[in-house]
Amino acid sequence: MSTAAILFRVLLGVSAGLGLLGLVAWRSHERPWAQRVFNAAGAVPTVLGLAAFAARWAEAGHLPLFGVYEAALSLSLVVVATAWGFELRSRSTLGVAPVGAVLSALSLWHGLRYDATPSALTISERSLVMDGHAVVAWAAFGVLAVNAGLSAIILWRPEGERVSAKLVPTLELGFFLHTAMLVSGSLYRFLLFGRAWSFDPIETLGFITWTAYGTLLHMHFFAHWRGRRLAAWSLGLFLLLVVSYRGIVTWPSWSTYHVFDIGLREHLR
Amino acid sequence: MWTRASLWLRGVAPALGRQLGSWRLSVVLTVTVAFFYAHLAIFSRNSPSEMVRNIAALVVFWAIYGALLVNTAACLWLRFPTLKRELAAHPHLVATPPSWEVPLVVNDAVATEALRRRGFSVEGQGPGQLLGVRHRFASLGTWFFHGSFFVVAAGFLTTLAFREEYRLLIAVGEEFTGAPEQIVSRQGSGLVTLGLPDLRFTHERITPRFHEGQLLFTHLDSVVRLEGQAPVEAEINKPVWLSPATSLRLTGFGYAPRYELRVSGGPVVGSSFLKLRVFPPGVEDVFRPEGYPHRVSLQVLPDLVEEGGVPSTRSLNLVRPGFLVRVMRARVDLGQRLLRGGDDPFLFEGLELRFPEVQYWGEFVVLRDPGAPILLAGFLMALVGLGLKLRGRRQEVEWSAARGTLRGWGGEPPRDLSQGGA
Repeated sequence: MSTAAILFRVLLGVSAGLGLLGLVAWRSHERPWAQRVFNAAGAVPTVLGLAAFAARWAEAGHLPLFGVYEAALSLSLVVVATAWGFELRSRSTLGVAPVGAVLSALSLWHGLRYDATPSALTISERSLVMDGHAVVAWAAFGVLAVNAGLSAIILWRPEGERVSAKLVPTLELGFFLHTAMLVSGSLYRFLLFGRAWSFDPIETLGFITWTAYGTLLHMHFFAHWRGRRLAAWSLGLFLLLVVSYRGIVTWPSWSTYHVFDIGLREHLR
Repeated sequence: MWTRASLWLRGVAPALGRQLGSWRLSVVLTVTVAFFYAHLAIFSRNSPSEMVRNIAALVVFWAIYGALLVNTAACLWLRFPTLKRELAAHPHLVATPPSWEVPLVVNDAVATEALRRRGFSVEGQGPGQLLGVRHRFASLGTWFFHGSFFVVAAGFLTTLAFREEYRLLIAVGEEFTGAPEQIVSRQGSGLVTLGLPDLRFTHERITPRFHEGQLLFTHLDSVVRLEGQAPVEAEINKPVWLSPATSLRLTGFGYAPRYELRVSGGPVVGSSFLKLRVFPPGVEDVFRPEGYPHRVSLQVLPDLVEEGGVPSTRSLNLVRPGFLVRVMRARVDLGQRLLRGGDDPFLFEGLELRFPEVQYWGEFVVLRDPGAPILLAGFLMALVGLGLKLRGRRQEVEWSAARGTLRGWGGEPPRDLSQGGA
């Protein structure tokens, strides 16, 4: 097993362990220090994720962004790093790092079910616009994952309402990044196929998510949805986001240009 | 009658405008769009994208897009007076009750510095009193973002009306002059035809590269020289821009073998490059030598190997081409043979058929899409709009030394100031 593959699995184990322990610590009112420790421990999967990302980069010879396995790693890194970044800003009092770690573990577990053999990039994957699109997509996912984490805190933690001030800024930033993802994807589609939009299911799913988050922001601004109600909807929409990012591999490979695994069906175990 | 109609319109128009521009309507419409698109996503599991595109072009979709644009326009129009107030450089809310107040006991210089550091544009109102404004362009962001819907819609409609593409197969070394016989096909909306742009170029080189012999392109670069210009590289995802709305795109490639037909032991009676669809190996195409009744079927094996007498190709690289040839005259089968290289002839009815060389051809598309730059402008406008919104809404503050407090209108108090720091 290669170093990259070992680090991938170590990251999965550490993320799952730290995430679950951190979530248990959420309920531990008598030991606030325990919560802070697990929040600060978000640094561990972030560093491990960086190491796994670098190892895979060296192994594959290109940025590990394409294919379900590599995307799982990138997504996992971005989620733990964003969650930890938010913890740093709030001096480890937020509690979103454990959620990030659990989401990271789930993403890695999903990635492990697919072929990990590195392969050369095809023409369509060789472009700075494409790289930029992928990076913006991951960033949007990372921020909206933090938004989902904050929502979970509001819904299920005692005194969770204290983080509600951060719910809308993360929603707005996530919406901005998701828009940038759709725009860069459309731009690249135009460069590649001469059409900016073609109803590829990835576009359709991305657009559904965009309208859903846009509607939620309208409900916040005009119907004054906030607190637990806003949190519940944010969490629900995050599931939609997960489907739009990770569910695309369940579509037939002829229906989309967004399945990057070579011979995906053969490799699906 | 006209007076009554005018009075009725004056009475009804504001209410209608409010209904059309209401946020409730926009929520209903966006949720409807989301559900329609969910159906499209489900359809795309079983139907090709062209069919999904046709479903998306049904009149009901157009009605909803139109309603969304009307709703957005009415909404922006209704909020126009608010925009003017929000953009004002000077604070104007101080006469109204503040939304928050925090203690801030400092002197003028420290208060000025503290507010400036937090992005406020500060103006003094005499000793011991300051007014500040920040994020005054945030509302403009809302306008940019929602206004971009119209630009994007204009882009898509322009594409729909004016988009044209001309497909060309140009062999390496060949010059494209715009002659009709060089144009393989034309696709366009049919609404408006602008015609092929004035374009001449020479196709100088094309280089395909594959991943480990699989039918997986890792590179496909071509070099073209536009008339009177230096050579430029076109890649499959990097078109050559002829103008902001017109591009020359490389979309594919293939083999162009040159056939040579001679009378056995005699002179050459026919020779020409043929742009055939014989890539990938195994695909067969047909041609008729000029002036002869024969029909030749051809497969090209670019890197010929024979294992157990069965011809195949080792890779997709054009290294040692072999040709699988079948010749027919009307319904008479004159035989099939594997030609091992360019000097190996196929003999039939007193004739010799050879393929002494093989060139590549590139498939190019001249794309004219005046909607594309408009669409791009709309996308940029949306991002700029959302970017302006990200920093927060317009906020006004008033610091008073006499009261020892900072009062604010809009948003939350600056976090560190609210905790007593400056």
